[in-house]
Amino acid sequence: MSRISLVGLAVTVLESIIMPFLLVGILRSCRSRLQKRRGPRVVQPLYDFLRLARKQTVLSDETGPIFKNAPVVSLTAYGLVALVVPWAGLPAPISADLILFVFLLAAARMATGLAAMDTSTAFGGMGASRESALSIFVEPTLVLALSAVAIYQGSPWLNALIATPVSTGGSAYVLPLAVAAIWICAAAETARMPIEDPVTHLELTMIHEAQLLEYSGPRLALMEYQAGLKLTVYYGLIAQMLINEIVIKTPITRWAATTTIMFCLVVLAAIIDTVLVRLHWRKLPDLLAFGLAFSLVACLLAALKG
Amino acid sequence: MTSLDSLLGNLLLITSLWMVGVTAISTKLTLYSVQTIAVGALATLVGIAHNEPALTIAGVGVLLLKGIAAPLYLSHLTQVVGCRKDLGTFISSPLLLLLASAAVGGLFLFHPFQQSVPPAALPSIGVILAGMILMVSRRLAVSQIIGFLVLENGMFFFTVTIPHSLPLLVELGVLLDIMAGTMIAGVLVFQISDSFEHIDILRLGNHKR
Repeated sequence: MSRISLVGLAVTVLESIIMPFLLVGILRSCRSRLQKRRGPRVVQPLYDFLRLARKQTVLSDETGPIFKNAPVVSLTAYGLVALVVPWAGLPAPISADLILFVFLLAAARMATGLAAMDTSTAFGGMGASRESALSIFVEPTLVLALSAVAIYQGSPWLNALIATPVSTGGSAYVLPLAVAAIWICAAAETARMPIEDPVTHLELTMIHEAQLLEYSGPRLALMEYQAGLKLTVYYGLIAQMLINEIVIKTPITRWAATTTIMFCLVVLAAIIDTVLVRLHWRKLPDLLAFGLAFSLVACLLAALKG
Repeated sequence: MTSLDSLLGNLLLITSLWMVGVTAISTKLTLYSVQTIAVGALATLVGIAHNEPALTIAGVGVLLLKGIAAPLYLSHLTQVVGCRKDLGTFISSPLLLLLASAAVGGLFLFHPFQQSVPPAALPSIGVILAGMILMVSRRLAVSQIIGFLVLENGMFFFTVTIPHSLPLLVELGVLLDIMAGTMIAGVLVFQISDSFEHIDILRLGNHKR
């Protein structure tokens, strides 16, 4: 292993530990400021994590081994996701193609959903069924958008994302359309505003959070950390696509640009959370279909030019 | 100039497909305005670059009349009539969006009119297709007018991408016809809304009995 990849591995691991807390903290803090509240400190998610990690676990009598082990399974899946996607602006330590990325996300989703159904509470089952219904739209959108980028870059490997694109007169709309599609996916996956209200505590409208209702203590801490990690990877992925058009020479400038864009995206997400209202559950396909259509058109344009 | 053409053609295509999925009238009008101004600007630039006064005049006309005046008139119309969203589409709009994308994809991949249509003009055929889908899928009369205007945008872009395809007189005639058509359709919508208090095409059929 060369020195650069070792440094890349170290930075990726370090960032995947720090960034989820930092990004979630910035998001919550910005949202509070925009709503004229003081809000929590930026480091509050880390304190929450440490507080929950020290607490005792309360398990319902109804739960089985699936519920107990699901946080570790999905943590493994998201940990691998963080290692195969070059979200930090550095080559990912493990080289993988886009299908593995989507597969790992699906595996984590399955673990969370099964755990929620294992609790045999009404809200857990409802959250799980909603999450899987959403994934019907999210997964094809993600596959198509990443395929469009893969066709555009001429390589299905995710690490090709951070390589300077081979200039084949490719269409200028492929990356913006893919970014728009993945942004919609990210909103659906990380429980952001037009899809789901992130601050609600009304179980009837929750999707992702409803699956975590029965968790407590260290397992809840793990679940919240994973949600942050997912947000980080998604925003890092979007950042890679956004800076792909600019030729960036050294890995350090690329890393710095990625980090800056990720912070900007988080502030943008906070603004969207403040401005938009949650869509009705039955109206969600109207929005998600746009993601699917955008990624379809992106694929088409990439295929025609490539 | 060809790269600018394809850039704009794809922009047109994307905004047209976007409009197929949108139900809010004001969003649709904004998208329509953006694409028409872009087409008009391109025609003007091409006209100046190739020293064709006909295309320049037509481009300026499209930009001012169709890109600015028509959307303003239509948004005034929707405010007076009081309709802000499509009441319903014959097929639900997300499904329609996917079908339209698939149709345009099929058009691009299979390229059915290979003899008569050069590849550069394919986006404009796609826009015409999207305009037709917009026209037949909506129940609200205003949306159908917008669909008609999108269809005409596709036709105008076709004439821009294929040089010397239409003389100035025909182009200006078409432009004026479109404007007159929009005005007449608008007045009709006013009248329908005055008489029946709605502009829903399906419910109009009930009056025949």
